[in-house]
Amino acid sequence: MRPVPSFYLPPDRMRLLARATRIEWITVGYLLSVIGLMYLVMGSSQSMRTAWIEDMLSLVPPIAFLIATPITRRRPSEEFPFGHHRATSVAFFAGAVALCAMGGILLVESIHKLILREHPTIGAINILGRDIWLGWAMLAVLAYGCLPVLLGRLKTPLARSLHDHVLHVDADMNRADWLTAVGAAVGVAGVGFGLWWLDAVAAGVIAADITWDGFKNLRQVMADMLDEAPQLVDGSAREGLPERVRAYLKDLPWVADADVRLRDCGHTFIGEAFVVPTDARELIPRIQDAVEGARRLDWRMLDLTIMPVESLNPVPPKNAPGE
Amino acid sequence: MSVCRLAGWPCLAVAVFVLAACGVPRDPENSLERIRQTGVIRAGISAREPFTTAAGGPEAEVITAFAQSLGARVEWHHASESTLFEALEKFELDVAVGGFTDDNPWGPKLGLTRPYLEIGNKKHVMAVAPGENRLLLEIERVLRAHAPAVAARVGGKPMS
Repeated sequence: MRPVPSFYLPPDRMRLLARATRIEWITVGYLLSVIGLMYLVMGSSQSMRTAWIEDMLSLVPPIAFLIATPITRRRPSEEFPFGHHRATSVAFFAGAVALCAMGGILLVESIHKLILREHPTIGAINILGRDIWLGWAMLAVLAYGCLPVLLGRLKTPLARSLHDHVLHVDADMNRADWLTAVGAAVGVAGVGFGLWWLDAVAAGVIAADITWDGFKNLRQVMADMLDEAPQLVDGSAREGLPERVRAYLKDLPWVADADVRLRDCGHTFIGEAFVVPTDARELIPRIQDAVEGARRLDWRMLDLTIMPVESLNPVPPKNAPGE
Repeated sequence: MSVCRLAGWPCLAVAVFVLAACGVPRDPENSLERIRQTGVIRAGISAREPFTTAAGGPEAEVITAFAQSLGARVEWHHASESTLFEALEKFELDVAVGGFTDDNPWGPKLGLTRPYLEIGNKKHVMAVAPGENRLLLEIERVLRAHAPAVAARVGGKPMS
């Protein structure tokens, strides 16, 4: 099969990608340190345990980004004619399923603890030769675990500029991390005040949030796999590119009407355009010029197939019953 | 958001100070407060030489010392290990001793102290009612102080 053209990022986006990669490495290192510290001070607090697992799950998007980005840049080939940009979706799907499953399990766990009226024991820890309440150490670690919020704020604009869905999900999760940390801190502080149930309640809220995150991601990745009409990476609106391509074609002097069908292939857009020519002279060179012009519209517009048609009337359904 | 970030750290420091001043952590079931008021600590004991004997033993003496530090007396309940653990879980006892180790399967449901004594590869602990964190901290304090003396009597090495 004939592969789509090779795709390179423009130099300015290349620099942004290098920056995003650096930030993702920092994120992984930082999260690992948070996870290690939380393990040391976990005690039997359910909200700490839930926050700890949440932090482990928030490793999935940065790792998916770091592993999948080199794969997505492999050249399209006979075997993979559409390229490898969807590699991220696979990693992403696994992450979304993990979030849903763990969130559900943790939610059941915290409800179970609430029903059994389990009082979390948070004892002492020896720090530098002094015994202090472990709860203080937990609160300190949770405060330290809040900092990825700042990384998330750096990633959001990068995700938009690079049109990278995984990077955007990662930024979102980092921004949600501080909510998790605050939730867990409320649980631990509650235990400090003798409100044993606040720990399980806080854990339940965090677990519900993890499940909700997983559900959102699952819905997003499914929509990607079904080639939903292209959206902005934050899902706030329709992507404007298809309309721009259509307007460009419609404005060509030899075109009476035009429409497009584009799919978001990860970082690139590929698709078809249907044009109604006003006159059919020199159609082949005109179509070739139009393809080049459309590809120049945007750095993500990788390949367009232009099909001249009589009219834009819908094609009749295939194998429809009762014909 | 920027206000939160600027105010976050000082607020946290103030919060920690205020919480520490309120006697955090507190006991959800008010065990320590009740012991101070009634002057009675309800302690479980199961005999396991050399840690505990029918007459007391070094671990029981730690509890007696703890009670004295609060101006309370010890009301001893002799029973098997599993009976003691059940009673702790229901808050019918405050603390229990009997040569317990930290690999005890009941551990996660109780408030175990940190190990205070190591013999071979066994780490010895005492059991407190679950989630009574203030009581646990106070017992730990006395236990740490007595660990070397207990270790000297039963063998093994004290842990800090």
